[in-house]
Amino acid sequence: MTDRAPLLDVADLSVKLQVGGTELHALEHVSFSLGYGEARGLVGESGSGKSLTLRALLGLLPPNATVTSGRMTFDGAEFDLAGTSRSKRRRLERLRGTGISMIFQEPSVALNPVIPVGEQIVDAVMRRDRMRRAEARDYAIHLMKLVGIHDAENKVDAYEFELSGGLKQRVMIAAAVASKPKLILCDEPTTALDVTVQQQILDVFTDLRDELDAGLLYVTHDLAVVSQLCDSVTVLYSGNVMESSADLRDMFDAPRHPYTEALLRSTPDVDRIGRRLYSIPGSAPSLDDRPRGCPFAPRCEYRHDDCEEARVPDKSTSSGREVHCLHQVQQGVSRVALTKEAR
Amino acid sequence: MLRWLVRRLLLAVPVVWGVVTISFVLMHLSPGDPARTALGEKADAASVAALRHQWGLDKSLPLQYLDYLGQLVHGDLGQSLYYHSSITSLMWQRLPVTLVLIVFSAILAVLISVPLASRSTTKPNGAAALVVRLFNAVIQGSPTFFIGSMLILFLGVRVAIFPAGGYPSSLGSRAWALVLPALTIALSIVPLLVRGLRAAMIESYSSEYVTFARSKGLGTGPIRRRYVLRNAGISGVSILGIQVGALASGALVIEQVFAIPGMGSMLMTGILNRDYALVQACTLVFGLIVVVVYLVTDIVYARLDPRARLS
Repeated sequence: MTDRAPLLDVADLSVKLQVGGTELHALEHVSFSLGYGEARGLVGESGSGKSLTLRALLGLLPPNATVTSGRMTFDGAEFDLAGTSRSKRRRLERLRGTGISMIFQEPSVALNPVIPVGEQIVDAVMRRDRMRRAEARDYAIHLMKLVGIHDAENKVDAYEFELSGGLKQRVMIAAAVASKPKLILCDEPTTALDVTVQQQILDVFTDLRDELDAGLLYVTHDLAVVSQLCDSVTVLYSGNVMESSADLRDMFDAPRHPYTEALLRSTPDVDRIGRRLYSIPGSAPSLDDRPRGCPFAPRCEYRHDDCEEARVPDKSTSSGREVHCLHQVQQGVSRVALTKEAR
Repeated sequence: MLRWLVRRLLLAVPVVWGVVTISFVLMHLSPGDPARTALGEKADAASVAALRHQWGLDKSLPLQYLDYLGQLVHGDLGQSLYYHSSITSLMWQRLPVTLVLIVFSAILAVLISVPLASRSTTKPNGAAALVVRLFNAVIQGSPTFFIGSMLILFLGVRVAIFPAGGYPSSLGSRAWALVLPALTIALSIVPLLVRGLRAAMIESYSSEYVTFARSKGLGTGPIRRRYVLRNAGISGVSILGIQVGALASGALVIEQVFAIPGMGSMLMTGILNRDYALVQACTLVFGLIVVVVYLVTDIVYARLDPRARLS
């Protein structure tokens, strides 16, 4: 990474959910940053708050969610994510489709079924540059080709339900890059696809990264995907950051947080075929019943008495590494070898 | 598209035949003798029998049915016993009036419902939402003729913006005279339409495709028009289509209240005077209107929703 200020810096992001009369703290003091052109994986189990984090950055949270605290610096400009005033919301809204765009998990529900897919890309194109619709349409076709839709001229007038899952996701990516964003938020974009298509889409991302020089914040629960695509990684558990590393391989080779280690151990690996796969005992705490101290403590193999007492202070050990644990794994021996070279 | 249309038209044939048959059977099963009604209480049995023979009423029911079908195929709706003239020509005078009334009230219903549904969705605690709630309770609890009479009382007599009834000959004042009756009919379906549209809009607003549209930076205006209303409009169209039956029967009553010389008032006259042929013809034409409207609804639906074109 370069020495200049990061493209995106998120600090102290907390989100509260209102569910049937009870308030749940879905995100607690989440912080991370992302350099220009960097790809950071945001990893966690379902319910860990990954998607919520992405949506909070664009002000696209569901109505029952409120940002209680959080600051964001994007491309040199400061934003108050908890701001409810009209002007503050406006500033955040202005980022959408200009500086930041987003790709969703389920392309079949994220595309409007009654508008041709091309027009939905055109919408994004016109947002960036005022041009005639015909021109925007040509540009949309160009973008569709860029993301690997070969007969884009025919597909531009197709409807969402006439396309395969992979093509739909390519359309979404085309719409997301239409505005030449500096940052693309990806909310599990390959989870709904089958494995071969997933690989094709990941290739599209890899190609686009070189072409666009856009930062990528990639939410997934799939560590293999992260290892293939990302430079850095942040691990979330129950709405809290567990471990963060500017160098993905540092963390994968030597996890320092017991949760990261457990997560890596429970990832399938070709070298261990036939052996029983590790699974983390117990289940993630429900948001209204989170332990006072470390949220992972009840399931942790390295648990000490003090773990359940108080919140863990930031323990940044070396540059770019951040571990929220009192008793870090000393001899982090990764049992998986997921490296970029492995592709 | 063409094949789909032909198939759709062929499907309408048995429906029309059903309407014809049911209206015929119902009319002939009901008690009373049109010949007796036409000649009066004091006419002697011989002349009644002669008239019955002349009108073909002494034939067996299946034969009369076949005669009737034969006439219809030639576009002949028969002779009106009451008006003493061809029903087909009567229909050409009366039908346009009723059609204009139905179309007018459908347009009014849309013009009232869409903004109400839209406003009450985006501002659930605003004035529009309150209007919708009050409105739904009041309108749905009142019969059409009552609403019509109230509108006449307040807007036709007290404030006298609109004429209280009638059907003037000049085009401008005719349109003006149709506002109140059309409004009355429209109001009867507005609650359903608003509720359906509102539900569809709320669903659309919370959908992922709207979130995606917002993430692309589209403003509230384009999102409402191109994404929310566009999608909710599809279910709006089908609700409106289904409700046209209600509009037609509303027109029937309201033409009486406002003294409009349409098919409704002709049908009433027919019923009161045991004019078999006329009642049959009116029922048939009303049935046809509904069939045609359903067909149009299906076509519009298919235009709006590409998914419907598949089947």
